Amino acid sequence: MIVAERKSLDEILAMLQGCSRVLVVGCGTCVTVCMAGGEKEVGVLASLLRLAAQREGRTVEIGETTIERQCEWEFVDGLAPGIRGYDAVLSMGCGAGVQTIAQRFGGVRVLPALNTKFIGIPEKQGMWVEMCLGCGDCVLDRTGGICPVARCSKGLLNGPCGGSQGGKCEVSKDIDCAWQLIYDRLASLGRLDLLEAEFAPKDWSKNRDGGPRKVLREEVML
Amino acid sequence: MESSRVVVVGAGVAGMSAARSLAAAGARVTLVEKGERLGGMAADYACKGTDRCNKCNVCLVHELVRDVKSRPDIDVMTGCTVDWAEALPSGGYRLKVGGREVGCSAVVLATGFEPFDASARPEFGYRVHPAVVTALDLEKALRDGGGIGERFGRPIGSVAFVQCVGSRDLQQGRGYCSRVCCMYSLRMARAVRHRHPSAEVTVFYMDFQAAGKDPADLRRRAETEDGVRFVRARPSEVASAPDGRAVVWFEDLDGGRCRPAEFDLVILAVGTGPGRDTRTLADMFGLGLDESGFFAPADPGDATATGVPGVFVAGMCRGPRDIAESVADGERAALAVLREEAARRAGQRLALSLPVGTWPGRRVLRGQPETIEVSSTVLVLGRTVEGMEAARILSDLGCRAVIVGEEAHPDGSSGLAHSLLARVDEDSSIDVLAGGRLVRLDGQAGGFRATIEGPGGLVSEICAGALIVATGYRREFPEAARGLAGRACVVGLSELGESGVPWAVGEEHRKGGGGRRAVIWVGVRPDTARAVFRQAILAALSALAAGWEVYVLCPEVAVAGPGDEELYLEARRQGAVFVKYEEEPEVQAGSALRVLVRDPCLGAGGAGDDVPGLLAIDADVLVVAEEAYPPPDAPELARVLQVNTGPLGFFQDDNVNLLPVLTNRRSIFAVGGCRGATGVADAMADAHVAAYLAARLVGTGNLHVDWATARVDQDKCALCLTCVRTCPHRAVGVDDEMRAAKISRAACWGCGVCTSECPGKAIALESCSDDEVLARVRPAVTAFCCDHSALIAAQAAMAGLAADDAVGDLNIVSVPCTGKVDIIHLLKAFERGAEAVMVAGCFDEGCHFLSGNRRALLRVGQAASLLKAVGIEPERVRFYHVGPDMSAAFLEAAQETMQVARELGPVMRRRAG
Amino acid sequence: MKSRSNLEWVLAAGHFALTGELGPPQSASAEVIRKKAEYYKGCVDAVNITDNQTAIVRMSSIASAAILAGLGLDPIMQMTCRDRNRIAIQSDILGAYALGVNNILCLTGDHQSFGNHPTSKNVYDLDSVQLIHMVRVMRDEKRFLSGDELKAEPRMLIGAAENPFADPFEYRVVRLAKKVAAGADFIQTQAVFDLPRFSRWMQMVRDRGLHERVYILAGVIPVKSARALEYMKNEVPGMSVPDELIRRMEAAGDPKEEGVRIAVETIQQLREVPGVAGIHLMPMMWEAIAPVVAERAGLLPRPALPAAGLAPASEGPPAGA
Repeated sequence: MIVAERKSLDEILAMLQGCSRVLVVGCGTCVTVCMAGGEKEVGVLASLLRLAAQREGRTVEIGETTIERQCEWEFVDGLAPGIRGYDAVLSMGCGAGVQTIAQRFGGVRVLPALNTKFIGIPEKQGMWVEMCLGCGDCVLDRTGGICPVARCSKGLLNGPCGGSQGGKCEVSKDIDCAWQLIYDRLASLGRLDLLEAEFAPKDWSKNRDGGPRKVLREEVML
Repeated sequence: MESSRVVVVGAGVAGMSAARSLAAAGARVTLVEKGERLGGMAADYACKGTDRCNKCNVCLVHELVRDVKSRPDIDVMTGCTVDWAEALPSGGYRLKVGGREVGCSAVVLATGFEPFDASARPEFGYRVHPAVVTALDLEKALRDGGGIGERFGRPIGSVAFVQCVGSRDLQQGRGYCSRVCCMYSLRMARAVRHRHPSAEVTVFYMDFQAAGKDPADLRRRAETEDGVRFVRARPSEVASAPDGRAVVWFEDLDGGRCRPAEFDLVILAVGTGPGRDTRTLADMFGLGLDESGFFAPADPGDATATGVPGVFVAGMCRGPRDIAESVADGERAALAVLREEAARRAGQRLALSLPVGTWPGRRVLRGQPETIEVSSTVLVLGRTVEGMEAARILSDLGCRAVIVGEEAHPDGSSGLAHSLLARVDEDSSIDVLAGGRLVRLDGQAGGFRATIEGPGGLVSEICAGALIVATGYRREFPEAARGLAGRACVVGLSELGESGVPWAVGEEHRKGGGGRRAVIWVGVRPDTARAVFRQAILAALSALAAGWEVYVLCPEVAVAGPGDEELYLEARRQGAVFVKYEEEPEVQAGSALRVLVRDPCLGAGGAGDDVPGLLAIDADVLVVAEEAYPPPDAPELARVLQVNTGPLGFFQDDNVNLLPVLTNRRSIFAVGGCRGATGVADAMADAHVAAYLAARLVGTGNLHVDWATARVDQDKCALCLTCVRTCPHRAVGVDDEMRAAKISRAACWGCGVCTSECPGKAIALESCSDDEVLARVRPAVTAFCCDHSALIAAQAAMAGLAADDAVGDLNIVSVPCTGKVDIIHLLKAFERGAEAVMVAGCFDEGCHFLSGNRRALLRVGQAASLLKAVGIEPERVRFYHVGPDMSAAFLEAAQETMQVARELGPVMRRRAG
Repeated sequence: MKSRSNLEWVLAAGHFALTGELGPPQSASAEVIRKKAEYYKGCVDAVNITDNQTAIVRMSSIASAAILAGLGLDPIMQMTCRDRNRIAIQSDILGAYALGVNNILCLTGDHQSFGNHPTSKNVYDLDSVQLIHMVRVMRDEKRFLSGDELKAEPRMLIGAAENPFADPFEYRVVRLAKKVAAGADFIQTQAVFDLPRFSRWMQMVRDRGLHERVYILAGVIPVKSARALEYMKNEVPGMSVPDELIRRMEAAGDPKEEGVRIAVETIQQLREVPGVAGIHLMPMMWEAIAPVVAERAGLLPRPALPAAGLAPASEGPPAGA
């Protein structure tokens, strides 16, 4: 899932300077699941915006709505009635959601309430970790199903650097060394031989280094 | 015979528990109480929660009172006694109660106890010296709130507890341990320190009689966090000092001199004795009494039966027991009544013809009633004595039982085990899958699907309505003695067998010549000691009888069980030497067994020249009492069952509401050794209660859900699994068809935690929806109060005074659990004009829903930081622990919150200029 | 010979090699380099120039190495993968060789979060194995990584690092083998304090016959104080420092002297480990101590390059040894 995190309130309040009618829009998919921008977070943020205004003796009108997915035209269309009555739309979707709404409603100020972080999983309740970079050229077949591109701080392909100690990354004790995980996993699979082969330099053109990417499937097009 | 009318005599803890249980099982109940109110002695007790729950279980009493009062099928008669009773020829009794004649099929006597009258020991100065009070006086003072010093008109710089006043005291004709005083004093000591942080507390005690889940932890906290000093001494006198303080004279351990110590307040921990009516009732119904004057059990295996048909006893009238044990005893007596009735119906199996009623011990909001078809099969994990006993009872109650697992049984129970094996074998309602192992459990209460892996990898699936976990415990030498296992002349206490000791073992191991000397080392945790100490004494006695010299080494003498003190004294009389050590004994390596132990009671003059009191015992045999540990597969089984484990790794959380056999999942019960109850008697009691509760839930094949539960709006559900993960009761699963979360109504406890955790706001609690909560939030200082604790306290507080005078306009919003309080509720309250908001709920580990209060505490913290981010003072939102009987504490909390509101003023600022 | 490197000649001639390490200044001052170079003159066979070590910005290793080369020393230019993509690295290698740099040490590079620009973007387009491979292709196959022809190839001796004290331990030798296969001519290891672990690693190296395919130079750090050791033990990832060594430093009346003594002892013990071809001295900004350690370890004087330049290695011991 795409994992996001709400921006600090100061940052949100700063970008809303001068707006007195704000529509807070949640998204019912990834960011609901990662607890950053679902209906509940919309309620919390809307409440906080009203309280912040109260505190300053201002009156504001904060609308609240949550749509199924902010990254689909059909769902975003549902915002059409009424959206133009607001000074700004505060999207609690990921970056794709914010842009979809902005693109659909020219002339409406659409602002991001979240920082979109990564593709990851909830490792445990309340903690999400990065798993995939979307590099466009998956190597998991050779690394025991553990991605060195996303999970090694340096994205190394030919084994751990010299900073790997006790299974932890040199960057932080809170980060597992991806290559230790790969080693352990391949050892348990009896496939340590995979480590002997040299990985050639990666084709980063399949990542966004090749420019904004596009997936085209003609057979499903209308 | 008038069908199914049961008279319960005594509305104390056990009586109320029996009455509630019987009523829930469909019986009509008359509850007769001599006093004017429900609750018995316990009605005067105080919650001893400090910053945490100290597991005194007093909250259960208040809940019982409320449950009993709310049941129309319990006819409560206060201010009445049983004047006479007449056995009817058709069975049953006619009783004269309060001028009325009542016919009934059975009578449960739960007449409680009488506290020892401390003035019977004039040397302690009770009622003479103003600085001397009893523990009951202190209970009332704690309950009423306010300063303890003011209550007794004393300063409170130093406080002493004097244990065993009227217990273990042959001169007073009370040669038994009262079982409850050590723990209540420990908890009171904590409560006193909590209210008076500068008070120095000393406890004069003989032996620490531990009870509950991890009593050592509680004692450790008292010693380290509160600085409570434990002095092993039996004070001989409490005298007056010229300045009005009390002087406790006690025998110093070193040298045995009598020493004085001065205290501002001395609390006499008075023991418990038989109630005044016990003798009268015994005569009336033809019951036997034991030598101490309690109702005597006719059959140790069925302790609430009296041997007289239709008459049962429960609670402290049959011997000392604590609140949790008394609640369980009430349940057991109810079970015994039902079983007798079933037997009377000529071999018919008892069909529980009843709505199952609410979950025991838990008041719930009414929901839309629904009857769910369930499996009446109960899966019993573990072929232990407790497991087999549970199966046997289930069979009596009309359920089918399937026992899965290896054979295992607690110490000293092999005879019992054999007879149970035979009975289980011939019972056609009981199937046994020997050697099977539960590897997967799907479904929920009433409809579990258990995957069992048998020997040879054979996999079978069993549908069951309920599960009883009875996998027993693992026995191993305690850590300090672990290296001794397998050494010559060292045997485990359990290896000695249940009927005394084959002291021939000494012959084999003898190193030849000289007298025969045995050392019995009982170096186990206090919770285990309670079960094994009796065996140790029995072993000592049989060794003494065989002419051996016996030393028993232990940190404490554990004699809280019936008859244990007598046995202990007998062993001492016969010459057994008891060494109550402070440091672990040392067993020297080498061919001979030499045990070094320091006896703090001995001054200089022991074997060691340098260390005072050091004994060097050359033993022919060293008997080591084994420690009880959770079975090795407990973590894995707990994972499969999704059942929580407690602090020592045994099944069941350390939460007062779960005692004795409940777990965090409805209709999964933990009994006996696997939950740390390692004694046979405790294990059997567990088995009875669990079998009974399981049968009540699923015995009819229909589960009538009449409690409020949470429901998922499946269209809104994003299947994020937050509810699945955060439900304390594991009541949420995934509906594969709808691709959404689904809450089992049978398994849901109705706390509302999921409703306030759901990031999609897709879950609502019946009869306490978010809209309803928000409708009650108005522009005033708001107190969200847990229905089970703070609300009761708040109501009592408000009833006692003109509330507005005390706290002004406080908007009390009741919630089933503080876990139901959503972050949005807190913020909305401020939005609507509340200057401050408080959330008040149960103590940690005292939450009726296990962890809702912890969620609430986190949310209050979250609200505080969010408020701070928008420039609103975080101290405007507050959390308080308030027990149900702590109306004074509630008032203090409310006043504090109102004070904050007054000081900080409205959240909304007037526009400047 | 693969290069015009003095180090290659020393190693090929069978001498026990000694290299030193020089950290460029956090300034544009060439004077600092010249001053530090003095300590190494005649005392080591080649000098490593670090590449923005611990991600702290310093004078570039290319420029610093060129200054050293001008002073007659044999520089080993360190090159990390952190700051440059494959285009920049190839371009820098060509430039460095043109300025007289004959050795390159191919490194992954410390993560930028340790340095003074923790918010910078890292590159890691290549990893160290791929970098080694690329330099070898440029030198031996006269091709760029892209396959395009390279007319005047950079004839550099290729070095790599390995850390026998990092985890997973068993993987370390696999990684070494990969570096050797990719084209490494010599290896410099992380500093050895834990000799038993180093010996276990060397055993694995020998088991694979790697010591015969690559020269292994064991790293040695002379330490000034017990605190420095403790810092390395606790704060530097991938270091193994035995507690008794820290206690020995703590107990010493003159810790600096004790540090030198330990370094000398370590060198002597390492010399006994089969397969160790030399020592890499890392004085950590205490360059002045390098000649002292080299002297007391019996490693001076260094073999002199025959006047004729790069003659074929002779069988006998070089003059002065």
